[in-house]
Amino acid sequence: MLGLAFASTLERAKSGDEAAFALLFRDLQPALIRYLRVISRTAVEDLAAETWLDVVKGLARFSGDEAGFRSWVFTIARRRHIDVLRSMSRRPEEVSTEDDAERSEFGLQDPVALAAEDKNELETALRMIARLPPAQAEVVMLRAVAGLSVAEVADVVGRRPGAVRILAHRGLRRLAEELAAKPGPVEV
Amino acid sequence: MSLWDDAHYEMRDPWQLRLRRSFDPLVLDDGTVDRVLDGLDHADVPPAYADVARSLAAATGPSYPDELASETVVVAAFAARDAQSLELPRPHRRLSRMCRLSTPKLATAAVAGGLALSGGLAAAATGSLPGAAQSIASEVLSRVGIQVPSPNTHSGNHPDTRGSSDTRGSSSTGASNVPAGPGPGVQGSPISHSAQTTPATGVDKGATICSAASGGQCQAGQHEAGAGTGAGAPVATPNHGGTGTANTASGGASRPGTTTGNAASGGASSAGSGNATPQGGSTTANSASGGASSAGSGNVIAHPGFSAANSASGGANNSGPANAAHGGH
Repeated sequence: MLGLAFASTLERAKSGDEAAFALLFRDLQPALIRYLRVISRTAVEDLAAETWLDVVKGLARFSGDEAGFRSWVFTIARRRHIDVLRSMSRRPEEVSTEDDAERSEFGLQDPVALAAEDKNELETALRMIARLPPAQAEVVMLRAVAGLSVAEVADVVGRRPGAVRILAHRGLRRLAEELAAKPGPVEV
Repeated sequence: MSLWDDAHYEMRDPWQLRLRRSFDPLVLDDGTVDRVLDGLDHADVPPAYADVARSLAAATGPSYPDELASETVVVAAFAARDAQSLELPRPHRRLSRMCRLSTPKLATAAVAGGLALSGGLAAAATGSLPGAAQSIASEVLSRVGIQVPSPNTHSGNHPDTRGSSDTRGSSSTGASNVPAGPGPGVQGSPISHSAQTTPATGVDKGATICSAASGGQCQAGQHEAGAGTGAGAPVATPNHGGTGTANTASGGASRPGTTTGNAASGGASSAGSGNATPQGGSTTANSASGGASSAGSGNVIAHPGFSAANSASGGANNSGPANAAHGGH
């Protein structure tokens, strides 16, 4: 988070300062990529790039604080992700079969592909979160990784704050259960 | 009781929470959930959630190079977009929607259109505009891919600097366009006063004012027969841009010592003609009005802050026949 420097950085970026815009990018991109890796099955980099292009287009019209900016960016990312899901649903031959209905709905990453990636702590953590039911995984990522409040997450996902709290609670509980049962890397 | 209600109840009732936690170590209250998600250290969370806290800390850890690999592309997209949105006043929303053009494109099109309508585009292309105007034309037209010469190599004695009419209208303009005449800046007020008070009308009025302004060198009013228009007859060719200035002189709004006066003292009609000749339509205006300067074609492209505009508008202002012509309208 940029904190106190956010307001001036945003103003500089809105006036065309590339360095300031790069600061905004570096501050948000890791969380954005990790969020998309959890909720999206494919084209994470493309989704992130499309999200930033939308940010570029709308930056001049944006007004708000850092939390509002983060909410805005993740809302864009979520919409881009939903667009991809809709386009894939119109092309069923590109949609692979998925046993877990919820996982298919949200397009979570395939654990097999994830297991083949680096087995560092980050990868393990994302893998474990991605195993949660999609709605829980998304709320946990938005609350913990994106740094949004309950109210901001509720706005992003289109749910009531109480429902977001419940999803977060269940997500943490299930994550604790999963970690207790499988402390090591996910075996497939 | 549904699962949702059950979970909600267990988080809101402390007694129930303590009771459930004694049997279930994974029970959490709202506050603990928020603290874990906000990054509470694994040592400070309930033991059953220590691994969860570690995992969340890893998920929020520092960025890796591959996560920032697209920075160059995204920032380049930002720069490309930014280059198209200069900090100019936004046009009316409806106009913007209708034209589907960005602000700088509209501004460039407006200037280019003005140049084209006034014949100034051709003048700019040949580098024959006054220095300051040539500079602006070169700068603006280059944005739409039209290359014209820079001002300093072709502008000759024309002014090369931009300035306001109040501060720059007296010296270089008069010197470059007017061969002889009283010193600049000293006759503006008398000439303007004379234009307002003289009982003469039509061509006679123009000749009177022109003669006074040029120190007797003006021959305004002597060519009306050749021009085919009688004294006081309306001039068919419109006076682009110079009308306001001419009206100022004839209507009494002239400011002493400003561009009007300076150009007047600088030789009136000949000055205006000198400026107007390269521009389309000005020759017709001169002949129709007896050698006077409606000469305003330079005004069409000239910004109020340019010296080039000063000389052109000054020429229009002082031309006696031009005044007479306008008086006949």
